[in-house]
Amino acid sequence: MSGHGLAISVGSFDIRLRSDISSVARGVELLYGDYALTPDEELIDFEIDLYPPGVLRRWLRPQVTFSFERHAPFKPLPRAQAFAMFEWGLNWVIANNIHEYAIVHAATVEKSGRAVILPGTPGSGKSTLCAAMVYRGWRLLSDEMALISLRDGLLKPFPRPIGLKNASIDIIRNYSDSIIMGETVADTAKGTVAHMRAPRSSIDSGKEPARAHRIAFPTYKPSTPAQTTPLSKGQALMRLIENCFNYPVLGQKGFSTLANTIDQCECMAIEYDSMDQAMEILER
Amino acid sequence: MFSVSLNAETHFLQRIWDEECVVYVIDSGETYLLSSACSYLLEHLESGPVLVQTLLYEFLSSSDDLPQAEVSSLLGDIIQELRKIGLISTVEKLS
Repeated sequence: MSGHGLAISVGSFDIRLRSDISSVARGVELLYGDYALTPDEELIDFEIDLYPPGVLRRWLRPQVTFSFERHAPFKPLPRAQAFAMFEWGLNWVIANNIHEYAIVHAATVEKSGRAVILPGTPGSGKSTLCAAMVYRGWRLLSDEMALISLRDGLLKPFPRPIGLKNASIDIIRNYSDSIIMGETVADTAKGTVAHMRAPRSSIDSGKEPARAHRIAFPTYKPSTPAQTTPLSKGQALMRLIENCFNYPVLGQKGFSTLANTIDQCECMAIEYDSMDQAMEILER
Repeated sequence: MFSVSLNAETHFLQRIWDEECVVYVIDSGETYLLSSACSYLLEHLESGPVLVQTLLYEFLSSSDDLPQAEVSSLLGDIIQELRKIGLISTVEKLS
């Protein structure tokens, strides 16, 4: 991945990653092995580099710097977090540079042509629920951000590895034998993290958009049977706006797009302890 | 005597669902969740300034015999709320 780097197609986006850090190469091989390579003649949407900082710093403290189009927006992180930094940095790149979509902090999954948006407030367990759902036959559109087209209101897939943290890692690891998990990294700003490989079927259908029909705001609540509470359209819109990264820059198009999404969706809050129970409700 | 009018310098979009209305103020970029009564008032002001007394009469006639004091208080709250977010203005008129 050094030199010209590796260019891969993720959904409708083409990303070139350059790095000579071995843990990044291992992570990409394990978790991005099923993605198509971008043909040489294609334009690249995002140019990303991950590299060790200056010589002295490298010697004293192994670190990694993330750079997007030759600009390093973050302070370096410990080298062990290099692959995770690629994923986090890519989230930042999307949220700050793609403004033909309303970008909502949410997981999105689809089954039988009906997509569900699971906005992710802290402690919601959206990624854990999303990971379980995609291994029960749902198509992964995206784990970290819903991309809602300003043009047609459809959800653009961006199926990447699913980021899990702390207890969720073992919960999902034990969920299915076929789950492939990347390296576990402790002591990050988010605690212990690991990424789960996206299913091949979701990667292959990564250019097929979907229409949202339900928005469910999840909350993981131990010892609580799964239950839903209907949300009014107005409340749901305000909560969706709170979770929309680029709402302030989209202006009235952002408002109209999110309001149209609310219009076409059943809106609810869902509390759950058992993912199976939550999935049963969301399948209905 | 006061008259109420839409604030000509403020542009906004709104969506109305059942008892709620969400307003996006284009000039400030702020979004507000309001009651549908606010939307009802905004609709009344679309054709021009209206005296508060006339608005009260309109509200009373569509409020299914609610006590006048209650309707008047509701109207006052709505006017205050919409003024606060800059959607309407009130002007004192000499009689």
